[in-house]
Amino acid sequence: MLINALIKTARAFATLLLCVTVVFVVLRLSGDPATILLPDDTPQDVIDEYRRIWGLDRSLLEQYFSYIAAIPRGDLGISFTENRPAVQAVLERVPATLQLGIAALAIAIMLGVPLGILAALWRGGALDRFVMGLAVLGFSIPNFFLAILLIVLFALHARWLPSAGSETLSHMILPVITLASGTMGKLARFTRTSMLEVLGQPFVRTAHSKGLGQFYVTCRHVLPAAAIPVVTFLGFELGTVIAGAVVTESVFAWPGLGRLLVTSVAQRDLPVVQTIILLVSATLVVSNLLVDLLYGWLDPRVKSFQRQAGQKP
Amino acid sequence: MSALTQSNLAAAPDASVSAAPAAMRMPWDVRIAAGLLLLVLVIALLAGVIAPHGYATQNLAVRLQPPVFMGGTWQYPLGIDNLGRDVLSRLIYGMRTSILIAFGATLIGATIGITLGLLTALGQATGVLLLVDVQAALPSVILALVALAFFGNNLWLFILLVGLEGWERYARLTRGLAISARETGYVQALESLGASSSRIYLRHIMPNIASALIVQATLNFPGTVLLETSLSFLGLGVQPPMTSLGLMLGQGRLYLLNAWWIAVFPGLIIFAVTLSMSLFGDWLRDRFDPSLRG
Repeated sequence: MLINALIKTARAFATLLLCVTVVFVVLRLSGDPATILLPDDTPQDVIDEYRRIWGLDRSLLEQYFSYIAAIPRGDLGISFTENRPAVQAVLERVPATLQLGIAALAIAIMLGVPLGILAALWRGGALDRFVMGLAVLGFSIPNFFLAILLIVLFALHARWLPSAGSETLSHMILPVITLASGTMGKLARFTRTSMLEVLGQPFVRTAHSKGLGQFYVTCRHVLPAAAIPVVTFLGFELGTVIAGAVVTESVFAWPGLGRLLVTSVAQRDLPVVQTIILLVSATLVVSNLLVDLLYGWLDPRVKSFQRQAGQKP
Repeated sequence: MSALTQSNLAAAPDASVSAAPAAMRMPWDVRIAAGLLLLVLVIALLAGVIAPHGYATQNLAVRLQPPVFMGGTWQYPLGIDNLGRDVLSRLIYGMRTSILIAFGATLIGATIGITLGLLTALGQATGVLLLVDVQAALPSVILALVALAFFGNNLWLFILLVGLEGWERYARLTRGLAISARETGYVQALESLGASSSRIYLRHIMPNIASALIVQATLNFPGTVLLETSLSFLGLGVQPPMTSLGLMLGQGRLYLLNAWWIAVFPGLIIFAVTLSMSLFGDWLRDRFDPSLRG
């Protein structure tokens, strides 16, 4: 068990290192930041000086190793445009994105999971069809289009809610709905599938034949078993929420990481872009690792399988 | 498995073969979805013939004229945008761009993913498995956004980047299917006859797992359309004067207050395409490949 966890952690580290390397190589292959950032008529000695200050005159390998070596110290370079540590510029945007992302995930879970459970319990009924229809609508609608519809209806037409900014709580409502809809739809569908799979298992039939009530069987036997794949799904859905935040934050002028990414990409602020990507990859790698470990802990079958596998040699 | 008894029946090969004629009957919502997809495809292919005006033809005199049901004229049924261009014609050309990019990208993603999946199943290129992990840690929107901004925008690079969406899903699926196919009797029979592994994989395993891969491509298609339109929406995808549905939406969003039609019509079409493809893909999967359900 422990060895298994260690191997998985080592693999997660390798993945992260590879991510950083891929991004570093891709970004440096795209061209010399000095010639891109400075105006065309910059004298050569200014360009050289600029390269020297930012360390761009050293070999690519040297730049790579000094970049990697500085990461554990929390040093990810100086933002080209803001002239302060990139980490600082990125970290101050994190709370806004967390606020939006956590609210969206919470709403998606609070609505999606119960709807999926109800749909599974009344399978084939009107409620089931309604929920599944809603779910397909939810994850098919592009989030930028939903955002625009919400702005037209609730901000421009009805004037109930603000369309941009982040000053008050009411500013959160439209972006959170936009970000939550897709995850909620997928979650409702996934919960339903997972529930139906468990409902067909022999142990559920046994529980019913013992004379246990529907409510007791559902709460005590079905839900815990059905929850396992849903947890896994949520771990992988985190990436979708982060990706969705890029568009959603841009539309609603929400001062989070997604909007910072779009603006710093436009300004070719390399250190900031690299820091954001590192942060996103680290979040996803860690959440995938946690899901992986949690899965073994939650599901007794996986645990015993791992134990057997561990005892073999 | 959402329909346990059904899928158990269909999992037995004989049952699915004999049930084929009945399975071809589509429910009404899937019929509508399939019809809509066909219509979009025809419009996209015949864009040059159907469109009443050019996608870049400007007539500033009728700038921001509303659609016909809001007091506009039949000459420009869906209104005029901020630069005096016909919204209907731009929609038709936008469909062409978006659909062709999505098809091209699907082809690229499927080819890369299936090839790498087969190679890893053969025990070659195991490093690909690490790349799959890397892809899972780098959302494709972010990767594409960054690459497009830093490499400069270029249509072919754009299609390639959109094509990378979902390659790892094809790779994982192909690998899993090929490995389980290897355990079946027909492959073992071929091996004992001395067939080469390239022959076994390409001539025998591939046709057997093709239906699952086609279903996967259908299910992946909405995501591909969304990636293309999102990037174009952010201004990093298709560049003017070319048009795409996402680009129209992105540019029209600045005129929501007095000309909502510029942004809302392309949005509706993207929504209709992704929704129809999801419904159609679900139906295909339930009919032809119950093992993918979930």
